[in-house]
Amino acid sequence: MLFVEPLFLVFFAAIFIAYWSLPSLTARKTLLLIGSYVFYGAWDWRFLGLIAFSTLVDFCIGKRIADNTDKKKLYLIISLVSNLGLLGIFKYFNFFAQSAVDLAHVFGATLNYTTLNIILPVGISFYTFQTLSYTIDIYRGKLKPQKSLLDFSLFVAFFPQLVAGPIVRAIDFLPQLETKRLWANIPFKACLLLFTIGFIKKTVISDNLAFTIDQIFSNPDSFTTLSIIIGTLLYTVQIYCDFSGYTDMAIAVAGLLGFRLMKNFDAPYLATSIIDFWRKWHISLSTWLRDYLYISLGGNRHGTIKRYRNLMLTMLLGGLWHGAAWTFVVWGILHGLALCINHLWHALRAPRLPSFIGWAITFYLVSMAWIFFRAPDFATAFTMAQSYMMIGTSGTQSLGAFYTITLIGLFATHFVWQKANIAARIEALSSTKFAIILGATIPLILLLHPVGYRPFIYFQF
Amino acid sequence: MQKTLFNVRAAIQYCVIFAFSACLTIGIINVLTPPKQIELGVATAKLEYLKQHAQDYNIIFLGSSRTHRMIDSKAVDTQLNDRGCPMRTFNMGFANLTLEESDYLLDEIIAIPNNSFDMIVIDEPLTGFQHIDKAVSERAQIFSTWSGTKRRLENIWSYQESTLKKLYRTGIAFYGYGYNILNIGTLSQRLFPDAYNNSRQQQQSNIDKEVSTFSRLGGFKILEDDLNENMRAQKTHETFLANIEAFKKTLENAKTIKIKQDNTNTTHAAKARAEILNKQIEKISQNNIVAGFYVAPLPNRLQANNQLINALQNISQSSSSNAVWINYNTPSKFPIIWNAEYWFDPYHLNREGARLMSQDIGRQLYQEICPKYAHNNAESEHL
Repeated sequence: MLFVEPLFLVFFAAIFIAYWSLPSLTARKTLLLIGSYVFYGAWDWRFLGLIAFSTLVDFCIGKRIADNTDKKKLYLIISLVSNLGLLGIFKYFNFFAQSAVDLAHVFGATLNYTTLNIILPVGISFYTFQTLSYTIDIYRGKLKPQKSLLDFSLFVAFFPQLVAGPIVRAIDFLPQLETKRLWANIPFKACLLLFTIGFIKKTVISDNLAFTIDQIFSNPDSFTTLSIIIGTLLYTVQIYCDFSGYTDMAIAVAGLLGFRLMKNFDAPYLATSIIDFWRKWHISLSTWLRDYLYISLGGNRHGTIKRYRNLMLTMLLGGLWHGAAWTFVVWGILHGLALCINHLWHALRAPRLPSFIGWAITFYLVSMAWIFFRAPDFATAFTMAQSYMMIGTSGTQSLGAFYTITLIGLFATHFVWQKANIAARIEALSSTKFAIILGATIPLILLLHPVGYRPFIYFQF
Repeated sequence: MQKTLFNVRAAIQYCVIFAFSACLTIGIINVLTPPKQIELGVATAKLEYLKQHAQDYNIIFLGSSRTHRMIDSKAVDTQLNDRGCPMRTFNMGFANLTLEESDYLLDEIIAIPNNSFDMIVIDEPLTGFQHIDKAVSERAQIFSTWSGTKRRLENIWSYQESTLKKLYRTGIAFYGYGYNILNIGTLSQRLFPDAYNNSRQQQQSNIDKEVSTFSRLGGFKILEDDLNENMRAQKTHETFLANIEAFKKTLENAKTIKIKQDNTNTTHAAKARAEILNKQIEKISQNNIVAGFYVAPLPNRLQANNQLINALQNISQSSSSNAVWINYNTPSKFPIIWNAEYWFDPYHLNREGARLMSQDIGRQLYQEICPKYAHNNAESEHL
């Protein structure tokens, strides 16, 4: 059930009406929990047990950590092992097993293993990080264990952000479950606008570009250098629109139920440095990695060398979090290197670059790194990267001027939208004008909705 | 986010404004959008072929996959020709043929100038698309028009099945209307035609392959030949093979069921449905073409289909639009095909089953049509 499918709209309309009709807080939370399990079960009901298992394990361990100060480290390890163990089996088993076989082969040895026919449970990377943040925060004394299993289950399975984030922290979400959400406090206009924007990003932009991008990444040799550059930039647009479109809709849907989720994107392609980029891109993940991985590794507390080592490790694991493939690891390493250079630049007190130069370098590096993120293998990635740097050979197939114009139009819109703060201006309109504009816009958007539905890119992570 | 205070009354007021604005925009879009061309894939290709070879065929079978996959034109022709009846059959069958499509194709076939059609055999069209994705397909959109709503609803509500299913089908139909009226994706297809053209090319290549067999097979295509391309057929076949014992029992049970032939027992639904189908029979008869009504063997609809054909025979007699009844949904008519070995899946015969049934149809048609054919020829010679 995708946010852009009519089935979801029917599902959400039913939940919305029932939720606001129920008088008691417990009844509302129960409804949301059942709704969340139905939402997840619509994808594959078999994995409901997995969420329930994760929920129960961390609910119990959270209490144990708080109650047994002398054994709290042991319980934290149990939580880490069980959560990361599940993630490892479902997401990384085949990857690591195959990598071990390949490595042995390099050294002349032969290893055999049985490939497990495992389906990756959608959203496992997201809810695993959420439950981990809960136990780690209790361990660190930042959070008290949750007394209500209902509240904790809803925190883990809350359907708007269950499958692709934003990664919600217990410390932010659980307090919102303690009091009844008020109808009068719902920012209707903001939520409807955000949902519409997310819908446009996903269906009108991402899905319409998808086919052309797939063609280029499946056979880059046949395209001209210029087409590969345009194709890479189109993917840069697609991944942003696809993912931020999802989170926009998730935040809007949660908002209509009275919940506030953290902002996950803040115009990342206008970033003027790679540090700035990671403050604006997938904010819930980057802050999670900073707070629970980078700081746990020592952060910047043990000298310059260890600081850069921690940074590289964090980004490498961040890359691997996205997918079980070495291309994701390289993507993480590229970002790690860029971050190290950026921090070194500051440490050496080198002159600050003009904003435009900083933006151009950042954007070029980010879009180049996306090649490794998207490419199915290294051969494709290297071919694309060479062409992107204009040093490779190329084919004859051309994308045509339409995509160049589209690209320029999209970047211009993105820039103007942010700088002129258009969303806030629309929100400031009277409700009557807002209703008229929305009513006129939605049929126009639907004209540009491609036939069929493509899952969100981040669902595979 | 700016917080806005809303009360329910205000919310309703803004919903009305929103709906008005949306309707106005949709209206303007519909005025500016050119009407959709009727394109029914293989059915359109068959129609075009038939227009070009209207003189070559005498008997046309128009129906769903139970016609397309089970009426072996060559087997029918052989039986007729071997008995000295020089007729040729063309299979206009099309998977999931709906009533609207059937009406359209029938009108088109009848209107073909200088044709040699002696007989048109129809079968019971389906009640519409069952899945939400199919309801919004390009094919479904063609007939998702308000003008055809009455007939579509009659079709759905006259079919013998549970009210819940009828409600579901009605919902799907209206969802299809909504999708069509909103012109979803029309601009996307124009601006980003690559994906659209790619899927079109794949479809076209499958259609071209089938077109190349028309002159040889007369529009018939056996399901076994589709196994590599048609994933759905493959899956249904695999499931069928896995549950073959249960199907054997179904067939055995079917042989023992006493079919109620008494006219008084035909249900109201069967009568309503018969009225709908009789319009097609009348249309064929009015054009001096013999109408035929074919009922495929379908063990799970033994009672309903026979009630329907009973009702249809009654109505047809009273409206004097005589039709030829080709009812294979009675195990006693042609018992051999009520063996699981002749089935591809629970709804379709396999190659051998189709051949055997088509031969039998050929024998029946010889008796029903060829004397008339000979008589008509004699009359025209006399005149």
